[in-house]
Amino acid sequence: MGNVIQVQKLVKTYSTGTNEVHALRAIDLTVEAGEFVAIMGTSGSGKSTLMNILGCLDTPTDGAYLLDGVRVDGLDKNALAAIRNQKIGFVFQGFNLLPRTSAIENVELPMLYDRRPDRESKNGRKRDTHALAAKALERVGLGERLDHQPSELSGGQQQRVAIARALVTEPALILADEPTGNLDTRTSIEVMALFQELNEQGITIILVTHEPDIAVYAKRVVEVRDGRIRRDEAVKNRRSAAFDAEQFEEKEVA
Amino acid sequence: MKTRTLIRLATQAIRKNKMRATLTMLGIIIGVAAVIVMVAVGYGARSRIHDQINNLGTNMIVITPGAAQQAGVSQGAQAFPNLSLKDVDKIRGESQYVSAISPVIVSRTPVIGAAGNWRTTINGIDVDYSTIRDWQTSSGDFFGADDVRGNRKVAVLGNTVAQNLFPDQDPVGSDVQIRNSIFKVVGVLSVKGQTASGSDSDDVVLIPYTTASQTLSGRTFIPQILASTANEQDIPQAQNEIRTLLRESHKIQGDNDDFTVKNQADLAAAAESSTKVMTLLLAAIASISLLVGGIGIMNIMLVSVTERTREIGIRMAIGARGSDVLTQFLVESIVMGIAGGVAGLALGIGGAELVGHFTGWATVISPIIMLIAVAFSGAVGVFFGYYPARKAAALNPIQALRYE
Repeated sequence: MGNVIQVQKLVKTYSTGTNEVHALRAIDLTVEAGEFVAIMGTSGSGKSTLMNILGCLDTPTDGAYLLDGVRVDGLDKNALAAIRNQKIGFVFQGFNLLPRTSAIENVELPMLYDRRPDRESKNGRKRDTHALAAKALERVGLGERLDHQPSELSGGQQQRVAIARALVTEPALILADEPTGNLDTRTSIEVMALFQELNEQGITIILVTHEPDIAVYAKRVVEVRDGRIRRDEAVKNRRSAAFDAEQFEEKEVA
Repeated sequence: MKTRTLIRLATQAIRKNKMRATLTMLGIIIGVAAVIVMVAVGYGARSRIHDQINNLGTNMIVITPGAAQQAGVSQGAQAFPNLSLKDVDKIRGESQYVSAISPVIVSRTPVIGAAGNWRTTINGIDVDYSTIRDWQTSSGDFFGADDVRGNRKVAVLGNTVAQNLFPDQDPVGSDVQIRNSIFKVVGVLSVKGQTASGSDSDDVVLIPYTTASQTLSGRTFIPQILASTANEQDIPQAQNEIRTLLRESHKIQGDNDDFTVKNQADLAAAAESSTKVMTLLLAAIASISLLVGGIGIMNIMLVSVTERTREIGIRMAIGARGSDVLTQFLVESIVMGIAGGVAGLALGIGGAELVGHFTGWATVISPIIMLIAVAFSGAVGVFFGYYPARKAAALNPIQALRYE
């Protein structure tokens, strides 16, 4: 399988007045299709900057970035928006669903911004975004809650809606930024179980987290410190979130 | 994104803040309603004046003395007593286009009849007057050319005069006294109604001009000459001809005519111009409230953009371009503007009906004005929505996502 992400000598420097802040200093990173990578680091380590650049929300100062075989550093805003729309699925810490908008409409949203002409119409008709969104919600186990608004859903369910929204465009990569940060332990494990399940189906996932407990569910850990990669290794003693969730339940019953 | 989707999203966003949207639109609603009512009243007044001018007669030309200039200063109409019977005879004799002509010698004096006296306008006229003003008798007949030539004391009463001097009876054949002379009533005029200036056309007595100059004024000066042409196309030629003939008889060289020749359309234009100014003024005042309404939209859109910074961040993260965000907010303000415009239109039509009902003024609402009102409120939405939408589109997705 090919490389989903290939980053070479990636540099990001912010200038705040007279000071220059080196957020990233020469990052090299390759992520292959089907990988499940946890990017770890404390705050100020540069992991957020890396995640923003990997997510095409920000552009690097220097270095090369190939996403799904396409060179994306140096693209303009509109091209980056299209890349985000088609190649990346975002899952955020704060869920970031549109308030007062039903689950299914939230999931439909990325498809509304898809400008590719072959997606616009098939047999003169628009593709059925509604059906696709419903399918994505079924995939995350929310097939019964299509018309619920975020306020009517629990945190775990909201995060599942967000994952469905990330999945619906069949992106090359799911980028999850502290997806369990706002969830309790049990729900966190359940969400991680879902990520593991999706990864087993072949979806490439990059998970940004500062919790080692969460990183153990990934296949590979990349640790960032002071804008450099300090550690890049396979996860030893990888855990199954589905198994942990079961254990957790039993403990609670007892 | 398709237009339909955009409009659906915009309506959804507006519905999420019903109260706020309604209050915002209220500015536009009141503005449009005010414009509609003002213009309806103004148009109503104009159309009424137009009808009244048409009611004056058919293909009528009015010649009045004056409007001469002295040392560059216009002296205004009737500054000079310089129209005479000679002029009337000259036009009658030499003009090709004028088919009917009559002098009008005006005086105001009381008339005494069976039921008392009545102060009214006495018009000394020629027989053509009936044709020019398209005014027939409802009872009896007009006096004839013999009566005019013979300075006979005969009179045709206007409807108002007849009713006041001879209530419940036909005055034809009776006598009336004007000044010291006894006149025989030969006819009563049909009802004509109000004039453009609001006075009563039927409050008048018509007598031969010959008799009038002899018994009433004792002067040969004529304050007004009325003429008419056989058909409408001849009016401009007739006017030119009259001008040439009068300049000849008054021995005028250069531009300083001492008379004015106007046709009905000129009179209508003059009367309408004042109401036009009034309508414009009212509409201008009303548009100010439309402007204020637009500022209201801008204000609320700015608040909305700030409130929804996070939403904008989410949309951008999942692939919305700046232009998508711009369109979204712009469509929202346009929808608000047009919705306000349509509601204001309904309110304005209702308001115009009410004004018409309670004041008796005619109100006219033209479809063009309705279209303009709605289109204009849409334009207000574009104009005042653009800046907030621009602001939304320029947001940085990373910062917008972090916004609390």
